[in-house]
Amino acid sequence: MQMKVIDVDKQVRLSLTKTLQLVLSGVRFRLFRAAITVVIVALAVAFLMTMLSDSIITRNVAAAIDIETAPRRLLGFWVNQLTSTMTVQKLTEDLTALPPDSNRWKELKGWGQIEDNDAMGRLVDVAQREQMYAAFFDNLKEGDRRALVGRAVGLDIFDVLVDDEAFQTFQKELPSVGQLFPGEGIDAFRDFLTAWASARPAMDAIIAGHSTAAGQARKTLLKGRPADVFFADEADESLPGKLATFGFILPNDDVVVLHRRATLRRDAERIAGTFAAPLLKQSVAKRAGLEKANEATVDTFFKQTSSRRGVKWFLAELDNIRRRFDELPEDADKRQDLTQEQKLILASRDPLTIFAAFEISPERITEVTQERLRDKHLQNVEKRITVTPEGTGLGGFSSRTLALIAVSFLVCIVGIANAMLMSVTERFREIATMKCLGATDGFIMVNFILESCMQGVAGGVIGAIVGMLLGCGRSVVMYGWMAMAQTPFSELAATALISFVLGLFIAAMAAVYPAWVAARLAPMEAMRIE
Amino acid sequence: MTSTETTQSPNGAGDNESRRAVIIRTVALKKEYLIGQVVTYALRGIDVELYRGEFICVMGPSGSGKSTFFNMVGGLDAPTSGRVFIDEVDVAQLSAVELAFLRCRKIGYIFQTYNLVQYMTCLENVTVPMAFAGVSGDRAQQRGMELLELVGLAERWFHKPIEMSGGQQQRTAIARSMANQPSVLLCDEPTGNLDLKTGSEIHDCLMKLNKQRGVTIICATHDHRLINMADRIMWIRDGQIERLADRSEVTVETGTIEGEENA
Ligand SMILES: Nc1ncnc2c1ncn2[C@@H]1O[C@H](COP(=O)(O)OP(=O)(O)OP(=O)(O)O)[C@@H](O)[C@H]1O
Ligand SMILES: [Mg+2]
Repeated sequence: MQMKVIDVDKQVRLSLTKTLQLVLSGVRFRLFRAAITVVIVALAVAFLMTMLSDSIITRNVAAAIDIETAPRRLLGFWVNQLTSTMTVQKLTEDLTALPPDSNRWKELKGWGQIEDNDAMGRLVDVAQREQMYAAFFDNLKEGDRRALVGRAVGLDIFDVLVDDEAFQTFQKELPSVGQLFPGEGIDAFRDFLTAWASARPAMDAIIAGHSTAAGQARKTLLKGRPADVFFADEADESLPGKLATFGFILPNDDVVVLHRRATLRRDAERIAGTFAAPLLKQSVAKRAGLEKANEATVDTFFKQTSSRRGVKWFLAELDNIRRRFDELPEDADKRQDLTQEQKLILASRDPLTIFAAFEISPERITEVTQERLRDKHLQNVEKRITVTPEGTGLGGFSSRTLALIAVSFLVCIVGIANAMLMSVTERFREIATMKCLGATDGFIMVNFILESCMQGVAGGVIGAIVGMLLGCGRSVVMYGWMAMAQTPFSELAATALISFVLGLFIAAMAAVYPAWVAARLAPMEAMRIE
Repeated sequence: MTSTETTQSPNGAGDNESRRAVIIRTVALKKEYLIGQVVTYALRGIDVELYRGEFICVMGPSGSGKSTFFNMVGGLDAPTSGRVFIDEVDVAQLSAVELAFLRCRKIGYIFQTYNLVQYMTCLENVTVPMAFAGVSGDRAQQRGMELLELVGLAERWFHKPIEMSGGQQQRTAIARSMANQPSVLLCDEPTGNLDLKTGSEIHDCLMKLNKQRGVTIICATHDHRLINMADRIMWIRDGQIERLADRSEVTVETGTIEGEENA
C-alpha cells in the first residue's frame, strides 16, 4: 500500500504575541507561585544592586574627599617640608614614587647637586629595589631576621650586608629561613647591595642639602613663626621665588590654595582660643544644654557658632563678659580676697582680649566655623570609608564579596528551578493536554522560559530599585550629604540595568531544565486518572 | 438505512464507498510495559481496520488495554512492535513536529477528566487547538462559537471550567476536540465521571457529531447504553480483540451483554 506523508510546512509556529498571551493568562492564574519566583529574583538582584551602588557611591565619595582635602594635604606637606628633617627612609620612599622631571625630582636633584639625569635614574632604581628587599626583611620573623642579619633593622640591614663577612653569614642562613627570596636570586641581591653602597653618598648629599636648605629657610623666612602662619601671611607672588632660593619648588597655583588654607587654620585657632576663657566655656555648655562646663569641647563651641544667629550670640556673649571685666576692681590681679566668680572673670580676660585684637568679622567667624565643621565631617567620612574600591562595579569587589554574590545567584537559580519544577509537576495534565491539542515541544519549552522571564523582569525591576534605594540609603547614613551630592546617577542607572539583565538572565537560565522536563512530558499523561 | 445496496455492508448503513474507506489500521500492534523485571503485556497483537465515519465502541474489563490501544492509535505513545496507520500515514515514521501536526488536525481527544485549562474561559479553551493550527483572532472566535452552539453551550462561552458542571465541561471538551475538524475523535471513557443522565447528553452530543459531521468516533466505555448507538462494537480482553461485531449482531439485554463481564 502506498504511504502518505504529512506536509509539515503547514504546521504553524505560534506568534510571539499569542504565546505571550497564553503565558500571561497562566501567570495571572498562578500568581502566588509567580510571586515566589519574583521575590527570589528580586532578592538576588537587590543584593547585587545594593553592593554595586554602595561601592559606586563609596568610590565617588572617596574621590570627592580626595579633592576636598587636597588643600589640607598641601599645607601639611609644606609645613613638613620647611620644618622636618629628611631621612633615608623618607628619601627612598620619595624616590620610588617620583615621576622623572617632577618638581620633587628637581628639588632632590638640586639638593644632592646631581648633575645628570642618569645618576638620578640610578638612584630611583636603587630605591625601588630597596623597597622590594626591605619588604622581605620586614615580613620575616624576629628570630629569622636575627639569624640572617643580626640586630640590624630597616635600612641598616643593607648597610650591614655590604660587608663581605656579614653577607656570607646571610647567604649561609638564608635556606634555613625557608622564605622565598624576592627578585632574581642571590646574585641580583649582591648587585643591589653594591649599587646601594655606591648610591649612599648621593643620598646622603640630598639629605644634607635638604636639611641645610630647610634650616636656612627657617632662619630667614619663618623667623620663628610656625610654617602655617607663614603661608597665611605671605601670600604674594614673591613666595615661590623666595622658596626657590633654598631649592624648594612651589608652583604659583599652589600659593593661593596654601594661603587660603593657612589663613583659615590661623583664624580657626584664634576663634577657638576664646574657648580658653572659663566664662565662655560655661555659656557654651549652657547653650548646648550640657550639665557641666568641662563636657563642652572645642567642637561643641564651633557647633554653636556655625549659624548667623550663633555668631550673634557669640559676639553678644563676648561683650557681656567684657562688661563684667570692667566691673572688676582695678587691682584685681593682686588681690587675694576675690570671690569664685571674680576669679573666673579674671581668668577669662586674657583669651578674650587676645581675640579682640584681631578684629575678626562676624561673617568670617561663620565662614571659618563652617569650614571647620566641614573638615571635621570629611575626616569622619574618611574614617568610615573602610575599603576604597579601585575599579568600577563588579571589578571593584573583593573576592569574598564576589563569592557572596555568586552564591546568592546560585541559590536564586536553585530556588527558581525548584519552584518551576513544582509548577511542572502540578501542571503535568495541562501540559500533556496541550501536547494532545497540537503543542510542539518547542512551544512548551518557550512557554516555561517565557513565564520565568516575565517573573525575572518583574523581580529584576523590583530588585534593582530596592537595591539602589538600600545602597543609597546606606551611603547616606554612612557619609551624610556627601553621598548624594556625589552620586553619579547615570552610572547607577547603568548598573541597575546590568543587575536587571543579570536577574533576567538567571531567571531564564533557571527555567531551562524545568522547561525541558515539561517539554519531554508524554502527551498520554493527559489520559491518566489519579 | 434506506438504501438497498447496504445489505451486504457489515455496518449495515451508509454509502458503501465512503463507509469502507479505512481511516485507522493497525498491524500486529503490541505494547509491553517493563516495570523492574516484570513485563506487562498491555496489547498482544491487534490487527484491526476502522472505517471513516463509523462510530466504534470499545469495551472490555478494566486493565484489558483499552487506554493503551487509544494511546497507540492516537499517536500519543509508540508501540513496542507493530504498526499504526492513520489515514494511511505510518505513525512510527513521524517526527515530533509531524506528530504534533497530526494530533492538532487529524485527531480530537476527549478525556474522562475533561482536561480543560482551568484559567481559560470556555471559548478560550475551544480556540486553543486553533491557535496551534494557525487560526486566531475573529475567525477562531467565530468558529469557536459555532462549535459551542453545536454542543449547546453558546450562552456560556465566558464561563471558566470551575463555574461549569461536569457535563458542561465535557461538552466544552467535545467542542475543543472538534476545533480543527479532525477525522477521528478518540474518547476514553467520556462519561466515566458523569451520572447517567448527563452521560446520555454526552452520548447524544457525540452521536450528533458522528451523524452531522461524519467524524469517526472511537469510544471506550463501560456504559451499555452506548452500544445501542454504535455502528460496531469491539471487545478487548487481555490485550487482544475478543470480538468485533456489528451492532445488528449483538443482542442487548438490560444488565449484561454477551462478551462482557461485570467489571
Ligand atoms: N504506563 C504504564 N506502565 C506500566 N503498565 C501499564 C501502563 N499503562 C498501562 N499499563 C498496564 O497495561 C494494562 C492495560 O492498561 P489500560 O490502562 O490500557 O487498561 P484499560 O482497559 O484502559 O482499563 P480501565 O478500563 O480501567 O481504564 C494494565 O495491566 C496496566 O497495568
Ligand atoms: Mg482506561
